[in-house]
Amino acid sequence: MRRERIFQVFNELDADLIDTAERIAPKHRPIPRKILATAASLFICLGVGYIYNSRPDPALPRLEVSFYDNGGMGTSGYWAYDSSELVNNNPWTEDCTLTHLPVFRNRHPVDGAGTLIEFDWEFMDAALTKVAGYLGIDNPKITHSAEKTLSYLPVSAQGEGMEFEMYHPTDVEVFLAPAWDIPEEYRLTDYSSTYEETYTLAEYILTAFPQLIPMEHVAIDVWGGYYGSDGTENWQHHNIAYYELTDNETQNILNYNFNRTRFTFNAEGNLCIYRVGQTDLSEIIGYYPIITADEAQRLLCRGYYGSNASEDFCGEEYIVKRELIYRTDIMQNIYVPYYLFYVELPEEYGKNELKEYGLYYVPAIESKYIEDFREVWNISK
Amino acid sequence: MDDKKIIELYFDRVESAITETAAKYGHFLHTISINILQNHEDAEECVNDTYLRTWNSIPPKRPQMLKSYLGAIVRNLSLDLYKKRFSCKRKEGEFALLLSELEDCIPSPSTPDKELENKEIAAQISLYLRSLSSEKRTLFLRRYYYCDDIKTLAKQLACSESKVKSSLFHIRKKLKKHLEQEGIYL
Repeated sequence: MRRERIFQVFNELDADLIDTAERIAPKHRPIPRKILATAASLFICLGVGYIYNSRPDPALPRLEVSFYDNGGMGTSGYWAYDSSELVNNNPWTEDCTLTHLPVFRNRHPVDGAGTLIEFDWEFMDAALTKVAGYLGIDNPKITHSAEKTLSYLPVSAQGEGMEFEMYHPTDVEVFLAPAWDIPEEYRLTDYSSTYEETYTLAEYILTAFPQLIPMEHVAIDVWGGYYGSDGTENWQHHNIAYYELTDNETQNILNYNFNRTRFTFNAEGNLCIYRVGQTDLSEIIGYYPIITADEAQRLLCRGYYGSNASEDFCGEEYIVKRELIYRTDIMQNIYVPYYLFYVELPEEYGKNELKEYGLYYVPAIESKYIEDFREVWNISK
Repeated sequence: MDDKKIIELYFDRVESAITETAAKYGHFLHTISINILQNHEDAEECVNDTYLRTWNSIPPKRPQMLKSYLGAIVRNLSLDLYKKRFSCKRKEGEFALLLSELEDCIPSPSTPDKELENKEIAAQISLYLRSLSSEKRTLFLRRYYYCDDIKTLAKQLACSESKVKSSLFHIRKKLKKHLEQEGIYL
């Protein structure tokens, strides 16, 4: 097995390197500069009866936030002819005036091997029961699996022509067999789809299957616009999602990121999988002050970011888009907002003239609330 | 006792060769094995097997560096026991995480000259490691040779687990780039 071979390669490393690493000289945690600086400021300013208030709110705990927790999952980037093709219906805009956003503890964290560390059957049962109710199935017979890893189904249930599964506490998935018919004029049978075709289908689903999207005010999110390629031909993808729109800006951001309803279609263009976002956001760590998009961009330019992109950040002139999102993959121990920057990668031009746009993340919460921010988020460290 | 003298004891078939090996390298071997197996009895079994294998292989072998020779044996034995223990189950825990971290940065030797390629790759990794600061080099080796877990490393380096994880990620990423530049592709 590959990883075992790699492990054995390390047996052949230079002996002197192995030797010098045998002992780590114990280190003591330094007093953070900010506390020293603040103590110094306090000492100086007390003399004139003024205290400079730059300290973090003691009621908000400092957070361990790393892009690379459990391997740094996530898309590295997208291919497109032009950045304007990359679309979504993110409720956050540059006009957003929010100064604080909630940070949540993931109540169902997994370790790096995909095993659930904490688990709440009651939550999962309730989520599955709720979604089954949308489809007219009351009191579904729920099965619990003994295995609690990403490869197994912790919670499942059956209904006529459908199976409910909840692999992990973020989505309830419903497999529809037989697939539900979509009229031919709306079907997307090719792998490729334009924005307009996809939006038309999204509108049809809303009217034809309202029970699947029981939201008072629905926002249609046709997102994507990126391309796949086999080197000869390129094809464009768009995806359909829905989220609930409210009067509350924060709630809209949370609904957009965590509580999305999505669909998958089979090769014939009929509806075969229905997914309902059910992330457990019951444990709020706190409402943290956030930086502006401009402040995040300055951090990005100074090398403070996380990314799976194939290139390091190559300069402000290559930024094509920015938005605020939450990273919601199941490997996150806490759910934190980020500014996401789409950056054209000048080295990555090819694949039938498609350009690559790398994704670069900067935490949106103020750095004084992030443990070891300078060391953890500085790309040169 | 000097490594040369210990090896001579093996060649002379003097049983104190094992006692001397244990005295000098017992802690080193046990640390590696327990990090992988997380179980004292299993680790002790692997370490004892290491002594036995060493006794049975020297002579004819005459290792240039006794410590890395022993280290290779105990790591392989511990890995075998780890696989045996988890053969029926999905592999869990820190060691599984460690293996998954390594997977992305080094290619798999698949030709009959597998052993030679292992050495070549290891030589390039050693070269790369020498370009790092001593702190980063130690961190990387403690994680991937000695198999320390993240929590222990964070404690020893007096920093957060996030910092350890991100430092390791950056080092792995740069290692990957270095191997690619040397013509070793993933």
